[in-house]
Amino acid sequence: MKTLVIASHNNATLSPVTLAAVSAALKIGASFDIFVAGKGCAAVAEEAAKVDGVSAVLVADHDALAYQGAENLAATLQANAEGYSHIVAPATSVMKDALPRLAALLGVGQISDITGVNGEAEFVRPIYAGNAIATVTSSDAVKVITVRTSAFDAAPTGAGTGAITAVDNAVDCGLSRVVSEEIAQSERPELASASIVVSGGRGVGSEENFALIEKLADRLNAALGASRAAVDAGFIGNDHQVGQTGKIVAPDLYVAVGISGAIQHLAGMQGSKVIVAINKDPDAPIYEVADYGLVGDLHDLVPELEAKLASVL
Amino acid sequence: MDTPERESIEFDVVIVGAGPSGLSAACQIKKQAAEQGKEVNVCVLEKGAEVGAHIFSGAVIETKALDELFPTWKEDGFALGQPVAKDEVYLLRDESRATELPHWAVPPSMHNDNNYIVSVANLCRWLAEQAEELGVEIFPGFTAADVIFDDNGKVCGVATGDMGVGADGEPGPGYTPGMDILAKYTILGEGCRGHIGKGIIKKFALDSDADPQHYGIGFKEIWQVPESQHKPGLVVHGSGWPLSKGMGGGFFLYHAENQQVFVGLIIDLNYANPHVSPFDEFQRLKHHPIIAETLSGGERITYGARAITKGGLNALPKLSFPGGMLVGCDAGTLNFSKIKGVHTAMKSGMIAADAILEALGTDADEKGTTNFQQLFEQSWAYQELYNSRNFGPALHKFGPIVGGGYNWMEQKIFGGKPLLKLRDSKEDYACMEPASAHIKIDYPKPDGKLSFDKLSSVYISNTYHEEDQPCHLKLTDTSIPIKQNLPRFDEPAQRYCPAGVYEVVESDGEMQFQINGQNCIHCKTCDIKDPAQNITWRPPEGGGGPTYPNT
Repeated sequence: MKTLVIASHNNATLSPVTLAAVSAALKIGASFDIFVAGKGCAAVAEEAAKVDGVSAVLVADHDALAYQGAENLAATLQANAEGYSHIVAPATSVMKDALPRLAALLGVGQISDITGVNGEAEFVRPIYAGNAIATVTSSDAVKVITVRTSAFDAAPTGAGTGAITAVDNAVDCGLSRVVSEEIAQSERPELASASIVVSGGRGVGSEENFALIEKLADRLNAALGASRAAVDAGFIGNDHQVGQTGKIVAPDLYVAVGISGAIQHLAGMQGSKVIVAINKDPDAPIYEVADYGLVGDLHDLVPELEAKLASVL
Repeated sequence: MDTPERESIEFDVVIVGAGPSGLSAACQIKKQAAEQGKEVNVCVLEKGAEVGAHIFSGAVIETKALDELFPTWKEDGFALGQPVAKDEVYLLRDESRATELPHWAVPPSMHNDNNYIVSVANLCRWLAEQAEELGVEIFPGFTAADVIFDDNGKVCGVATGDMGVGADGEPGPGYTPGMDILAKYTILGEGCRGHIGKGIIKKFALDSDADPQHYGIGFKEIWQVPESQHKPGLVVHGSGWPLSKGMGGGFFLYHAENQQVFVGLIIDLNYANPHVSPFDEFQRLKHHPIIAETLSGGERITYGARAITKGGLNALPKLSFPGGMLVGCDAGTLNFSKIKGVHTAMKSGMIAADAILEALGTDADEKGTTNFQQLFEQSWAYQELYNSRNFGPALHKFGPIVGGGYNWMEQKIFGGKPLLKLRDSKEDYACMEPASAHIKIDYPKPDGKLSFDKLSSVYISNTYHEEDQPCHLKLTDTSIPIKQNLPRFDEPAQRYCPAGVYEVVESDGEMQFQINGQNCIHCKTCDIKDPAQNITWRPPEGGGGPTYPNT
């Protein structure tokens, strides 16, 4: 039994979500290698080698893998899959594109978006948009798995001494190529992996008022989130939506401002370690899950909170 | 951007909806074709992600049609459901008192000996298995978006919906155009207020000689209850509280298998008071001791709602049109006196199959005509509708007590022969009266144990729609909700929708009508009940909507 963890990265640094995939690999119990596919990604390989417990780091450094396009990545992984009983990747957009192809190429099913590991062949995953949790077993010879990154803590890193080996069998399928890349510029942390998230809901009232939420987020160096109601009302774009049909997050601190706490929103953030709620309705369901709650008008309270934080942070 | 061209496939028969009527038609066609040595290609389109996902019913069924279609269903090992052991009927006097009706006072149509408490969703899943074994092709996750007409105005198939269209209406990255499913005969089995059926009835004026169709909204929850409170096979029906004077409807409580009970409330959609919230009526019903004594300490597993076609024979449209026919609740085959529609729906599908087989390969194919109407009128299903034609109108006209008494008389004393012809000619949507003419209803807050809020209810219907798609609920005039419905009726959509799709919110000082299409559980109540008839339900992208388990 041996596991291959596919690294998520931007050719410069290893993304922390890879460490969530490593945690899942550790639970599976077998020794694990990390596969880094990219272009000019030597620094990422160095970081991967430092992950505690990693046996080897395989690097496929090739033009065809610069953007980790699905066809080339899947074919390259197929060429390197021999000997592994488990292939595990964080459930990012890139991996959700490539792994199913890999599974199909290997003739096995994919076990997607797992939130738990019960053994080397038994996994836990949400189904029906998270309304039910399924425990599934696979009898495939190779288990191809994507991991819901908010469900696993980051594995420890720093003490690892993996051996870095270059592999020379990167595959260029020649089927598609990346023409250009437009990266959404944000100085704020990314919502899915941030340790603090400040979210605004319908109670914020308008696009202009959302600036209050943004100011608080900036003060806390937090990512910016929103409930579906706020997005539908046009206060902010839907890439900030947290909830059953938005992003699922589990930060250390989640501040819900003007959010009622309907279960569809809770589905996206109830895994947060500490939840703070500010709402003018004392009966809002959010208070049932909040660790700290403040009842009052957010238009007064949020600026007050931000000012107080300014003096201590 | 170059969009791919639409492809087409040809079948002999296309059936819209993998419900009891559509699947029965599919099975019957294949069985009869095999017997007659004919080769007939049949396909069934189903908008739910899997067969059964959108099937929502009480239900206690008579096995008459199933016995005809698959005579050895029991021997073959199909576990249909829980046989009925006992019937009880109650009149709820107020929030704590009830009177049980003695057996003799209950109209015979409501006795359930030899019937079964079933999950119609699971029945459909089993029918689908039989259908596939017989060679029917079933396509779940595909909507029939529109009808296709040939140059002579005959229906020659349906167009499936496009997938991957963005919320702005433009093709998104995953855009796949729908396909044209061409067929000699199209069977419409979409259930109550099917959007294609609605359009076809209008286009061919199929309802010109009928009374307006009448509808109810049916709510249901499945609860897992403590063993001591579970009486397998017990069927409870009743009426009265909490429905106020002038509101038709009744509740049901069925003790099914696996320590589960099916509890629900049906409310006629001809109610006049715009402040009524059918959802809240259902939630408070559960606090009545007759219901609470079964549910207390239990766990709510599923919630949902669906509109019901209950107009009976007087509202039945002509069933055939050039190129096809309407079956099941799309037509209106529910026998209201028994509150059962599954057996008659199945039978109507089977008769449609017979009619098509008779016509296929003859000159009739050119015009797409069959003997369906005549064959249906000779069937026991039609006879049931004929015998019960006054049941609904009696209750509408005379209220539950006198109406019930009238029905009892008609059935018990006059042997089921209708005495008079009672007409019910006012459309349900036209019955709504101004908000100013009624007192606002102060519904109790949900207690989180027996009663719950709307959003957490929608949550357990497992409803999901692809995020980035156009809103499937179309307003003919976008100003009507705020400019007309709000001042006149306090925009009742906020209340009659069982899923919280419609909201009136204040944004930048102005009132706005917000449509949360994502919450839609495909019940069709808004299409029926909007006093302005301004809302048209169209299918969202295939595969979306609720995912009901064993409803």
